[in-house]
Amino acid sequence: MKDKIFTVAAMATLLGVYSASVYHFSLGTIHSTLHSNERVAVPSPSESTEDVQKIMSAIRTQGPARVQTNLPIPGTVCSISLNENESVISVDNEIGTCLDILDAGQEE
Amino acid sequence: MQGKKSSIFARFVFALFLVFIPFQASSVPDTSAFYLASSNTAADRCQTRNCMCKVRAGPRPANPVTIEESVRRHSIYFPSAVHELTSRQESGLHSYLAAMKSLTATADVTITAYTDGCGSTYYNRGLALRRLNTATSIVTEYFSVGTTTIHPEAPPECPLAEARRVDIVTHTSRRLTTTIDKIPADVYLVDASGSMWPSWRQWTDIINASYKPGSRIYVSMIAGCRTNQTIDTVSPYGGTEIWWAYWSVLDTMQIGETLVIISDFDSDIPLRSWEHEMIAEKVSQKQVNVVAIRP
Repeated sequence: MKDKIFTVAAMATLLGVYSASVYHFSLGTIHSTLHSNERVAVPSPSESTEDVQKIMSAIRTQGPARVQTNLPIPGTVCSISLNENESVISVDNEIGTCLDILDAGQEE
Repeated sequence: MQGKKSSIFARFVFALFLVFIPFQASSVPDTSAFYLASSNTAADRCQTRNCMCKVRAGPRPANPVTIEESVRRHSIYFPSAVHELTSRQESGLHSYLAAMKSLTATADVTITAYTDGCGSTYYNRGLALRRLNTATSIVTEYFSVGTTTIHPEAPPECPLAEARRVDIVTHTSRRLTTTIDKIPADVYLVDASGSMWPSWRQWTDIINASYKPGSRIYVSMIAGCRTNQTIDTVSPYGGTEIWWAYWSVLDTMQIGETLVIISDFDSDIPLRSWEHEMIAEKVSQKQVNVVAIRP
């Protein structure tokens, strides 16, 4: 009798954990299904050439600028740019500043 | 009967776990997903391990005709707490400077003095300065000295014979070569993507750079290089995957070391903000110095 109660209790616990996990991982889908009706209605695409041209013009002129996440370079104490237009003195100054930063870092 | 019930129960538990485990697995973040390009990672796009190869500095011609072809770095090693040159060391330095003078009448020279980790910081700075002055007094007889640097060796080991030295580097007229020469680094990471080196000239500058003795050199390539290849036999090729190489090379570094990265950092797929933060955090945790050179 005791074994039976234990078995039933263990099965009930495991089933509970399982159902809770399924519910947890399905929350995203449930949420999106529930709110699918609240989405803003998208107008049907216009077939007018004039409208298309206006849209394309707006994209070209008002579109977001390209975001360069490559710069600044992460983790660097200094960055030396060897642009051909920059003078040798300017590059030397950059190197000098960089060496000073490295030197200060070593002393700490 | 009791045994049969236990068996059914055990099977039930096993089946339940089989169903349950995939849900748990899907919630674990995939570390290899770093630097994603929609469905594949930088590591997937590279045929080389970690998008890079460890290489060696190339040999120089026996009879150099130009300064670029010659060995432009001359190192003088000192016993502990000594800053004077022996007559042999002095003679060697004069020979080196005379050879450089024959190749180029006017050149800029950088002198860098190092010490090992023995003694206090204050004492080592003084010792390095005395070593620097000893070398400078001889070099100025031949060339103008552009830059002098005192640089403690990293990691600061005691004793470390190879760190008790002065490096004298004669520069070429090339801007990239000179910049690499002037910044003492323990690790160099060179972006060897095809788009970065469209002209033969600039890659030659990388080959001709005077890398610090004992430093490790890596080239970042998606394919076309192998470990221990000499850098002069590497042909720039393929796309830019510098971020994955940068991330991976940090694992090879020790506290206090300096990493110089030579790249335009113009990868096809920009680094995302969280990846940017991850790299910065790793650099901070490793306590290394990173310098970027953008040709």
